[in-house]
Amino acid sequence: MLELVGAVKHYRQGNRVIEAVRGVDMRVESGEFVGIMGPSGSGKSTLMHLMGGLDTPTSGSALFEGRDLTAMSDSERTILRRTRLGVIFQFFNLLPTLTAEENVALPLLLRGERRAPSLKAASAVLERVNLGKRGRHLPEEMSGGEMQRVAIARALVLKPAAVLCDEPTGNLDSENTAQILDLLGDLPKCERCAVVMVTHDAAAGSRTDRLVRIRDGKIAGEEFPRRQTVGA
Amino acid sequence: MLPVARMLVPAQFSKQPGRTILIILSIALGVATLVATQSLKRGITQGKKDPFARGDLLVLNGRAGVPVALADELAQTGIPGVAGVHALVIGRALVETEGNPTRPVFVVGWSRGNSGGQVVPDLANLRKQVEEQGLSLEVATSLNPLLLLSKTPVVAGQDLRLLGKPFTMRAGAGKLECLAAGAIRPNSQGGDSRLAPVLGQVVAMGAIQAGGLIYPERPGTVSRLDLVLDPGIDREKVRAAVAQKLGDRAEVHTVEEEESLVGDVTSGLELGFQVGGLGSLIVGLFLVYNVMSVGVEERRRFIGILRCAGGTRGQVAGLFLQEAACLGLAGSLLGIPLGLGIARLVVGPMGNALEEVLGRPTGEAAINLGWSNALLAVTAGVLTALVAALIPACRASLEAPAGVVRQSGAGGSRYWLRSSLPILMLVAGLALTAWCMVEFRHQLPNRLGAFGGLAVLLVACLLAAPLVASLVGRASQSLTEFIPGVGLRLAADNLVRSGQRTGLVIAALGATGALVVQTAGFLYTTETSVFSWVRDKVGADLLVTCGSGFTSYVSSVTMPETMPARVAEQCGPDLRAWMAVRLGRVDLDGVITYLLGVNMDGVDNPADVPLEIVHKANQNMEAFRNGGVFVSENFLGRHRKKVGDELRIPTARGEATLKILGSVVDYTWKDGTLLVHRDWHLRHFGDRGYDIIDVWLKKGADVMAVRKRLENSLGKSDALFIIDSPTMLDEIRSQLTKVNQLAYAQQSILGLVALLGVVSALFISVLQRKRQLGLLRAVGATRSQVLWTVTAEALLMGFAGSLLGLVAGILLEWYALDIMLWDEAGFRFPVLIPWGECLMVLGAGTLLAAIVGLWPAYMATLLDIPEAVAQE
Repeated sequence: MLELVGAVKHYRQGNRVIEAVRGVDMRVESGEFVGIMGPSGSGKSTLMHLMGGLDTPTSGSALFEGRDLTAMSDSERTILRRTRLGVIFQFFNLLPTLTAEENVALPLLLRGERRAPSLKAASAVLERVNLGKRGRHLPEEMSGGEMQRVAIARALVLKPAAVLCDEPTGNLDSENTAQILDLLGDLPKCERCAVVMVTHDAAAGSRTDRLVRIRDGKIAGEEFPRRQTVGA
Repeated sequence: MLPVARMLVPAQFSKQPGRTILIILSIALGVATLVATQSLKRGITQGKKDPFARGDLLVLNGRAGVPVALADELAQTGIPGVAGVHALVIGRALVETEGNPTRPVFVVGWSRGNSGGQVVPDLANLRKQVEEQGLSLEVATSLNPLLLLSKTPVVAGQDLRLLGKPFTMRAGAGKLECLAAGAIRPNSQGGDSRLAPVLGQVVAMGAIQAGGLIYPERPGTVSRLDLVLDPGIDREKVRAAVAQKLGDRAEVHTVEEEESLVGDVTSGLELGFQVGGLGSLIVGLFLVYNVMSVGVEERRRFIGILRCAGGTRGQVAGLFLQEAACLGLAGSLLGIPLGLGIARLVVGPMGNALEEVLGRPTGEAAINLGWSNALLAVTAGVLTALVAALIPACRASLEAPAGVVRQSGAGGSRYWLRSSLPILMLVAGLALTAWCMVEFRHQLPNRLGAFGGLAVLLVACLLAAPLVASLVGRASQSLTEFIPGVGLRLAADNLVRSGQRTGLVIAALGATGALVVQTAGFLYTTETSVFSWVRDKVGADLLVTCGSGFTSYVSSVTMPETMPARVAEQCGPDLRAWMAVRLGRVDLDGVITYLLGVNMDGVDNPADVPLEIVHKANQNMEAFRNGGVFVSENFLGRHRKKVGDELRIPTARGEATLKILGSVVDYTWKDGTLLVHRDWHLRHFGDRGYDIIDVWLKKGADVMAVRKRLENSLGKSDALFIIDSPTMLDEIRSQLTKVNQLAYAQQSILGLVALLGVVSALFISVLQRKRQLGLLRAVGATRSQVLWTVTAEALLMGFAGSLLGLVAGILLEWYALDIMLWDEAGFRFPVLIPWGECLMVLGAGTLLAAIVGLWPAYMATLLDIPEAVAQE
């Protein structure tokens, strides 16, 4: 589904060259819930960006459903993000002037679908994340947890093959964190999609099927928290 | 803080070259307009100064002239304080030399010594007069003594190339055989002579000889007497004594009063210049404020570091102010040469307009700035930048070091109307104030009500602009329900939530559009009304003048009284009717008014001509011949008179009374026109010449053939200018357009500043929406979709501004025509809307804004997605 092969990412900061990712091989299958964990500056977010086509590796390749993202044009990668890939960030996920329904329908509208059916589809997905009654509200009228659920709904409206999340619970309290993790955890089973979650929270990491630890741009180790929990 | 500023400020400029250039250009354009208006104002002031004035008091009688004997009388009476009396003649004449085309020149006559008297023309006197004017005289080395005896020695400007040549001068019935005994040159040792700019048009001689040429029917007449007073004397006392001595034979004015008479004509132009210059600076100020504000936002982390390192609030504010001062200085230095260039473009038409009004040469108005105005320009530019940077600098200094990394994204608000209530109330209050000022303007000091009310209204519109921006955004939001995609919707959203920032830009665009529509509408209305009058009410097929075209007939040469008959003869059987007019100006209660002596002998049947004066005079001919006058409609308004009132006007034979018999439509002059019968004019002015002859041809006559016939005969021999009606209308149109050239030049600059504002507002928008745009890209918006949403914002700003401009422009046009033109000139034209220009403003404004918006839109597409979404 999602694969990095010898991925390296350097970027310039003034006169310095930062080696964010230094030769990573990683694969995520359909229906898998994978966590990426590491300290600040370890390259975990960069890894996620490479997987989602938000950025391109300096060398190596990033594959999605067998297609080399590096070989695609920016337009092709963009189209992928509005049809097959959902992306969720830590905060300010939503466009502040659009209602929850409109935010969820955004990818559909971007790919040229008509407004009424797009909003209808969005409304249906909001029901699934228990926000059916909040469709007409603006983000400023919602809590942090509600906004993240809207973001998840936006990812789901695509019927995606994969959902990438960058610190989705980083800005939430424990109650909302639990709700979001429940939702994300259900996605691989219900939607048969791959979910990749970047986190620095050990509790969040423990909810994943596989936890990849990253340090200094390289994979430092791998765990299987749910197998361990079950085993325990 | 200066060493720190020296370290940081240049680096900031090179890091953000686009932003730096925007600020510099905004200030430069504002300063350029200010420089152009100051230079032109200086030129007008110089042009108004009488180059021939030699005294402190002037004795004159309008265009009728004064008897030179008055000079002797005043000298002999020995009025205390009067040190000398100089007689002066100024007029227009034709110069005829063998083998050269006839040329019009200005004739100047100087008296000799301390009085008029019987002056024997001599070269020594002329040389003395020339040298007293700060010029030098080149005398012809060999002159035929016989010519010297038989011809009048004169001196001429060197550019006329008459030195040593005999020639003939003609003016109406007057004729003089001359010999150019000397050529007037600028003084080789430098010095500043007021005559230097006009030398190329001047032939000078003794006052008596010049008077004989210009006033042939009234020997011993000169244009005026200049009285030189003793130093330190009370001028008003002397003036009163001279006025008492003269009685109603002539009037006594100061030089300043004479200049101020024409100042009324040019003051409107000057005021327009200054308002335009100030307006551009103010718009530039607001745009610089916008850009400086975003600079502060961008550098919040930098400010935090500076504060953490020990920089005080004052030092932080000082840093931004020093940056602004540098940019202001750069903008001023760029704006000065730009402004001088603009001034040079429009100085020509302005100079022509001045000569037209003054009836004397003004020379080419020198465009120079002067040190004081250059300093003013630099100060204005730097101050504008400093004032614009003040609030952002204070805001920067108030940032708490720890809090600078925090930024919350502003969302939309459903309660915008409630928060806008104070502004709405202020706008309503200002609008009411403006209405009161206009409604009661006649009770207020001159022009305060009309101009002041307009200024207050414009301030109200400026304050209301953000609300207008929000309204347009909201209207667009509802429309986007029917438009696919989200680009336009996001653009409309941004317009709504950033009303404060975009409102100013929209106001600037609107101001430009409004001025274009107003100028075009004013021109269209004026042109249509004047054309209709010329074509339908006057309806002459040909217009005949001498020495110059009809557009500058005040400075044309007088035609002899036999000319109408000669013109009629040349027209032959094609002639239907003719009418001849003698033009003059009188000072009526301190206002220059035109006096037309009308000869209708060439109209056998009033039905032959559409001219209103002919029909009305025909119904009341006896009264018209004997002291009756028909006045232009605007005269009644300007002078607060009505039909039946009497007027007392100064004439060559003393004060005379005229009774107003009726009014006619006449657009000759903004302060009104008086039309009297030729017989009455002759009795009171003794003037036999004519300035204009109107010719009506029979239906079916070949107008161009008759014109050619006249040009080939009288055109060559008598330097006549003959023009047909369509050509006349084209020239009127050209004159009207020339006058508006400066307005259009100013509006172009304002438009440029406004478009710069669009660019800066969009850059700010892109910066503030960086995360949003990154998010949009992350969820699947292509680069072209991002380009569209930013460009759409520019499109909406352009449309909102242009629409505002269109509506405001139509209102401004109504205001200019119904209020200002009525107050200034007493003309009432129907308001005609220039729909072509309106559509052009709407289309061009929207399109241009979208085009300039492509640059920031393109920059937005280059955003790095991970970097953008990492923004807080």
